[in-house]
Amino acid sequence: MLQTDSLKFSYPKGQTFGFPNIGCKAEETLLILGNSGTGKTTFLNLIALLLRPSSGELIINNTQTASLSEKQITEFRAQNIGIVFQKPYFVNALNVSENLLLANYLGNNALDKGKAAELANSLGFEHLLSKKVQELSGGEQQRVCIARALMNTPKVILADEPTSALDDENCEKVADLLEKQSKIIGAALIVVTHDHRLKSRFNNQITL
Amino acid sequence: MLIKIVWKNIWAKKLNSFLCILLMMFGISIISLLINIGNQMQDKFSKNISGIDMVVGAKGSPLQLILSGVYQIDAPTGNIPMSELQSLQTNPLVKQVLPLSMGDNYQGFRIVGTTYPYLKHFEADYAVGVVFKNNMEVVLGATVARKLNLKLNESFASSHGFEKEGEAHGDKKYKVVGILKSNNSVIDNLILCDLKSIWEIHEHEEEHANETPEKHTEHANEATEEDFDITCALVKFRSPMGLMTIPRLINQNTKMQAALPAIEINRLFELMGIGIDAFKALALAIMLISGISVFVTLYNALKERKYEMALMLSMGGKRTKLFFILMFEGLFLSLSGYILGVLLSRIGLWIASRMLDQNFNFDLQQSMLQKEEIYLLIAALLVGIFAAVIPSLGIYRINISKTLAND
Repeated sequence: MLQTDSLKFSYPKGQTFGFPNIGCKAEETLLILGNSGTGKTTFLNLIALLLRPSSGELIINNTQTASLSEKQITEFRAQNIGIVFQKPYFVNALNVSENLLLANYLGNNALDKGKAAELANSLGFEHLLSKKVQELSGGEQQRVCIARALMNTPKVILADEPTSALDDENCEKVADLLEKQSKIIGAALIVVTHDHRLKSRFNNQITL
Repeated sequence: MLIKIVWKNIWAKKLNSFLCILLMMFGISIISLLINIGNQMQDKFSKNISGIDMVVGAKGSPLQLILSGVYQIDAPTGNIPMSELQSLQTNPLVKQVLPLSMGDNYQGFRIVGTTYPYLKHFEADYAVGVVFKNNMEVVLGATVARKLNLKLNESFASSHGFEKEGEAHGDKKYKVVGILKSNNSVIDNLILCDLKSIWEIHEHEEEHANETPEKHTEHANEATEEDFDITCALVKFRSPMGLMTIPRLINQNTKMQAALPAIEINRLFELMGIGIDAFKALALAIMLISGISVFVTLYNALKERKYEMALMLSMGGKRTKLFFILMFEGLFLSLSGYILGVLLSRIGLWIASRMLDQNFNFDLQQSMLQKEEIYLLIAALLVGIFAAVIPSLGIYRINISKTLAND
């Protein structure tokens, strides 16, 4: 589903990162490990198409992403990649359910309330759908973020330190949910983390 | 969904949005109110002035003479003998002389003694009845008839002066023979009768009161029109030559004064204009502050919402779309301020109309959107656009990966 080949990225200031080649098939999980400063987040941003590599190849869902235009990339990302950020970002003026539907809206898909309810149900926050996002606890917010990443049924799910702010119990839960949900929709799951609690869970690992 | 996001964002900052709308509302309503009142005053003033080139009356303030003679809103300057008009009436440069005699009222509405051409000058049209033919017959202006609920053939006694509470002329009663259609001119608020009716009433008055001997002798030998006093006369000229020469002649050679409505009214508007301009400047300043407040609100919002914006961008939102979301927020604030402002100005107009009506028998119409108010709409939208455009352009500077990576 996802394959990289000698990706390189240089910051304008001159710092250059080279990244190992990785591949991840549908329904598989890949853990990317590394200490701070090793370019974990840069790597994730490259895969998420938020940054463009200075050289190398990135193939997602059989598409050569280097040849896509800026506009096409935005659409491609909305259709194929679901991102769970380290911090639970939301549009604060909207409630939980509206934040989920926002993914449909921005991805130019029909607003799917049924799907939002279904995801809320399986992630255990169906009672929170009409609440404001600020009223949720950290664990709840993280689960809503996961649901949002799944709203457009992406081919690849990227999670950036999804568990770093959570306690052991919630960490376990979130990891379970990520793995389960990506299996259900047949997506590749890539988790970038330095959380030792996850190391023991997933055996498919790569260290930067 | 776009509308929903815009609306929810505005609602999430209720107080800020409220302040923006409030400022815009007051700015707009003040300007709109000034425009409406100004336009209607100008319209009324110039309508009543049309065709009258000069007013002659007793010496005093020329503006007062115009206000009392043409607009019937100030006290008259005094009386002039009818005989003085004689030379004017025969002057070849003069087209028409309309004598007016005032001094009485009924329930606060002025009773004006005049001649038939005065009604013709204002193109008076009869709702019912006919013009006054005999003494003590009156024709009512439309507003007078409506307010006092007087019908044809009803009669009433006038009272002295221009206040309701004046001393009543109880022994002589006026009879209504005609009621005019409203034509938005000064005669709407007048009770019109023949000059002789006024003289008749005051003659009796003087006989009863038995005032000073000299005055009594003045009226002692009855009869010819020339012996009576009138308040003022409206004069129309045949050619502009009259305008050049006659006023000066009158002011220099007679006891009367001549005032030119066009000049006096210009002077009046100039005086009022300073006040109106000051108000307008104030209102514009309020609008500008509203614009700044929209700007600050949106600018802060963009800073606070940088993450939201980056998030939406990462989720496939196009920068143009987000740009318009912010623009719409600014436009919504200024537009709703505009709409509320115009509504408020109409309420203000209604209140002002009630007050003017009570005090001066002068009412203002509720008008449709004035031409100037369309310009005001454009101005309000421009304020909204300019205030929103700089913060909105910030969307194009957001670096998604950097913002979300929290560096």
